[in-house]
Amino acid sequence: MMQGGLSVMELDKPLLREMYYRMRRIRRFEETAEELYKRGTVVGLLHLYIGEEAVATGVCLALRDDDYITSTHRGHGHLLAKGGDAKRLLAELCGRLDGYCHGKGGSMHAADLSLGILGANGVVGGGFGIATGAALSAKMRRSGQVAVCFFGDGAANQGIFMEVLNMAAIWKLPVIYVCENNGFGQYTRYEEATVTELPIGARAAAFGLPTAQVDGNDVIAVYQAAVQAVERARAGQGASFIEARTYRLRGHHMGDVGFARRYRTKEELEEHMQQEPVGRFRRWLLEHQVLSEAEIQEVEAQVEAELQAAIEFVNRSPIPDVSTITEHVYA
Amino acid sequence: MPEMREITIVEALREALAEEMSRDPTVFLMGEDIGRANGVFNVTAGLQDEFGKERVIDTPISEAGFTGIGIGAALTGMRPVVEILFCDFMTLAMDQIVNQAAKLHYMTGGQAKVPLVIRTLMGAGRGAAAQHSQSLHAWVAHIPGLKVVMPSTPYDAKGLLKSAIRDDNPVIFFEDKMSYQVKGLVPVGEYTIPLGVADMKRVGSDVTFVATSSMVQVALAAAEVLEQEGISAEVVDPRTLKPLDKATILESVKKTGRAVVVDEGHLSYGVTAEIAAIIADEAFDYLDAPVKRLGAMDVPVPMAPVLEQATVPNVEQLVATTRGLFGRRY
Amino acid sequence: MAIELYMPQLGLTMTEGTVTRWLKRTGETVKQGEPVVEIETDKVTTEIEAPADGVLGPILVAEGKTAPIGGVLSYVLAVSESMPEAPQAGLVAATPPAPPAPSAEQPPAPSETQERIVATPRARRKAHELGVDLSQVPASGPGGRIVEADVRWFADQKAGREKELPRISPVARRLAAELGVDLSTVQGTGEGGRIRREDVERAAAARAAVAAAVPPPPPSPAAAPAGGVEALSGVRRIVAERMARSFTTTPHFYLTAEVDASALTRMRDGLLPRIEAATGIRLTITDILVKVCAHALREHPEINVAYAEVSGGPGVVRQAEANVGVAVALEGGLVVPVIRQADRLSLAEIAARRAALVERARAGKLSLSDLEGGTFTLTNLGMFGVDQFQAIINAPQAAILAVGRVRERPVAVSGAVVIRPTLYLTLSLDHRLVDGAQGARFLERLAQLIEEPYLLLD
Repeated sequence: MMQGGLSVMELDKPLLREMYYRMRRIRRFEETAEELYKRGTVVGLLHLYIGEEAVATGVCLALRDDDYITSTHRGHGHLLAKGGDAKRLLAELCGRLDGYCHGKGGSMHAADLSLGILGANGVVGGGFGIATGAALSAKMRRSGQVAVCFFGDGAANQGIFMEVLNMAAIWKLPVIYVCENNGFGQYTRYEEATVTELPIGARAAAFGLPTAQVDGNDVIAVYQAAVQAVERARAGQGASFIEARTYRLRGHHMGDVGFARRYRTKEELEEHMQQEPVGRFRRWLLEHQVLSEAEIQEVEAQVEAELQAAIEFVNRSPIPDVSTITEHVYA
Repeated sequence: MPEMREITIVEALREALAEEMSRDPTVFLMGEDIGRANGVFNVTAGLQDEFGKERVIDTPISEAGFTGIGIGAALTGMRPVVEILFCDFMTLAMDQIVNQAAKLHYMTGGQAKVPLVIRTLMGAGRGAAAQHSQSLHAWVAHIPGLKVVMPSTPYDAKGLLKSAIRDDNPVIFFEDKMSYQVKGLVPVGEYTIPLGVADMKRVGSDVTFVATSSMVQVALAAAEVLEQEGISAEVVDPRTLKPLDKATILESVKKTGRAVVVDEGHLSYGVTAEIAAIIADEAFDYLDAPVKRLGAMDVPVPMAPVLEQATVPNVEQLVATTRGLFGRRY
Repeated sequence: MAIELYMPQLGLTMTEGTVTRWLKRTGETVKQGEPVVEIETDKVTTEIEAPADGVLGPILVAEGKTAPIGGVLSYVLAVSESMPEAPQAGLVAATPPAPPAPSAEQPPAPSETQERIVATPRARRKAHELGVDLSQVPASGPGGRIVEADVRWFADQKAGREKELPRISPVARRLAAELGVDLSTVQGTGEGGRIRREDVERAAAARAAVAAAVPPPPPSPAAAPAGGVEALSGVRRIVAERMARSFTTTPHFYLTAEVDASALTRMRDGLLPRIEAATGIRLTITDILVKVCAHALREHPEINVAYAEVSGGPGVVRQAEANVGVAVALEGGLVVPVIRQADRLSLAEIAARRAALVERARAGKLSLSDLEGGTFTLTNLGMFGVDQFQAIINAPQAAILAVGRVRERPVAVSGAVVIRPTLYLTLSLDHRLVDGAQGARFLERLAQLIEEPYLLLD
């Protein structure tokens, strides 16, 4: 089985191990959050990234630490893939003082500015302007940084998408628009809400951006496309567009069980389960003898330990005092 | 005493922009027609020649997009000054302003800073009709996280714009369409005016006019008329709605016992209501008459000049309203 | 909506006014602008007009009673409005009752029950601070609302009334009782006019001296001869009060000069037919003297002054205009209408104004503006055959000129006795503000202008 059209020999083992580690970490983080949500420890709106781990992982492994990303309401994967701290993210989901945002933002607004993570966003398409502006800033400062805008197929239908594509094109901005097409915009199927005669990338192509359409469950394919786009951006050649086709294995958010039956069948879901990226990549690593079962289990144990520590961190972290309400309204 | 000269608000704003751009390389401008076209109202005239196309950026007509880009640039080390030609078009960028710029600092627990200035135009008076004449400052003043500035004189315009640019928060800077050519004395050289400090534009003893932007001129003219009738009006210009200098307003009302709040936004649910409520709430025992409000009529701004002018508070209305606060004089 | 009919403020010195006559009865229809009630102040009698069409409400201040400025006298009610309860005898009392109910659905509450006092928060705060009972305070704000100024005014009035009561040291009081001295006749010389023991002793000594010289006066008003003592009213009362105050508090001195009136009479005789033909008004000697006085006042600003208290001590007001008041005798008393800036008027204009003022004065129709603003007074009793007299200064002015009749008198000219028309000028001056030499120079200039009236043209 080929991954991303590259042979095993072209990819070094530490990178592949890192890919698996990051994907596994996202998956287990989301499962942990799901569990804690059911128990009531995680509060608020929770949109899980399960099934889409390869996209964030593949893209972020192509980035430098000081590059920027903007994320979505389904943003835990992006933050973790960019190197974010699972402890502080989980604490934020639980509304704890030691969370990334001291409990003020929660799942949809987690950010780590020190890692260029400009924040998840509660508004669909909320990252378009910010990512494009970060790219403009990087260009003006001649910093060599690039900006990645993660967004969904639903956000591609927001008007501002066209506005920023135009400006990114005329100003040759170092920005990469990564469309995670997970098949659903909230509870509506992609093909019912969006023109499918042409791919979403055709919109970016109309502004002259180079576009790629990749299997979003193939982390190496995503990585390869991202590397090309990042190289182009850093070389001052401007913006690119990547569509990563993937599939949302959970509902729009925790608690929409009732809706799920209305927009997809159990059979469809089970079929996509076979293609889910983390198990698929695990099998590929074994098959191509990149990692042994023992080595993989070592990675998995590392993830479990990290998550266990995160849970303990959350349990120790205080609930914020109401006196903090008025902090951070103004800088 | 610094050397003073008389310049217009347009010139004062241009000086502020040029000085800040010279002082700080992270300051840059973006907006529709601000560069090659010199700015629709001439505020940015010559700046592209002076600072180059990279720092004075002509944008496409994409208010949401370029406002969002301004936010992204502000988050990542720049100090953009974005121009939205008319505040009517601010509606196109409301998600950017209200959901993104205003809240990022708070939502990220203080990590993100958005040192963004949005310069925009307000006010009726040129027959521009309902989509080019609104005064929507109350909309943004309603949103925590935004600062809202509305200067009425060249001196204030320059000093406040420089402070706005240096502020680490998103600041919406409202310029009045009819006031651009208002002249006033401005010192040569560097000065700033802190945001959140009201200015006493006229000292009086019988009634306080709290007036914003172009309404400051209306209030001053009405005060002159009333002076002839023995009514001494004090004019307080808050200069910034957010933060609002409540102390100066309250101090004045406590002195005079009467207040009329004049603002060009629509009367209902607006700035006048907010300030009147603050006065009623915090200076109740000092009031010698009900707090009165004058704002734009609750109609879309009509085009025909006679109709348009009738929708905006004027000197006669303010004089008549004020007279109504006084009975027989001692 | 009931509209107040209130005691208006008609001048700076006014603090209250008296209702002299109601021209309409409660329940009577009134038209806007129609006189409803006649009032009298210390300067003028005037009528208050109905502020709107309607029906006169209950009369709250009876004829002969006084009310403070702003005090409600009655209301004008809309015709459709229900009448408040007919005014009871007790209602026409010092405490004004609540305003009538604004609509038929809400009949007025009896005045004994809790009345809602409409006062601003600031007025309430001030009332609390000054210990003022708001129910006593007349309202001047829109819609009959009590505002802060009302409370301040009321408190000042109250304080003023208290201050007017003479302060007497306990020793002086006891001594006065022992010696039978009426304290109201004693001038206090202590701090702030406080009556001290010395003042009482001085009063007792003076009384003893008078008693030695003249027969004792009637012991008290109660023992007055049949017919009793009649209280002064209206203008007479005011003249009495003002003259007494001026004469007792202003240190007068007098300067007299005899002046050759030949040129004056020639001038009058020459101009009279021309002015009469043009205006129908006969020029008088007084008219020319008004011009002369005003002209001289412009040249002698030290005379054109008024006395004033400033922070408890004596002060002077320097007048910008030369406004000459002319004393006009009326049956009920004396009024002094003012010819403003007489130095700038032609004789024909002065004559026309004088004639109009005299006519209005006789008809009792002088307005407040006719009486205000005088800076100097001219009084001429020549027409009554008086040769010479001394007038009491019209305080706070600093001087008054008393003019006698023009009469042919023998005078010595270059060593020979000749017959010339002359008149006597007597200037009364306030010595607090003006000294003898200053007064003399002014009088000399008056004489010069009368003897050589062409000097008015310089």
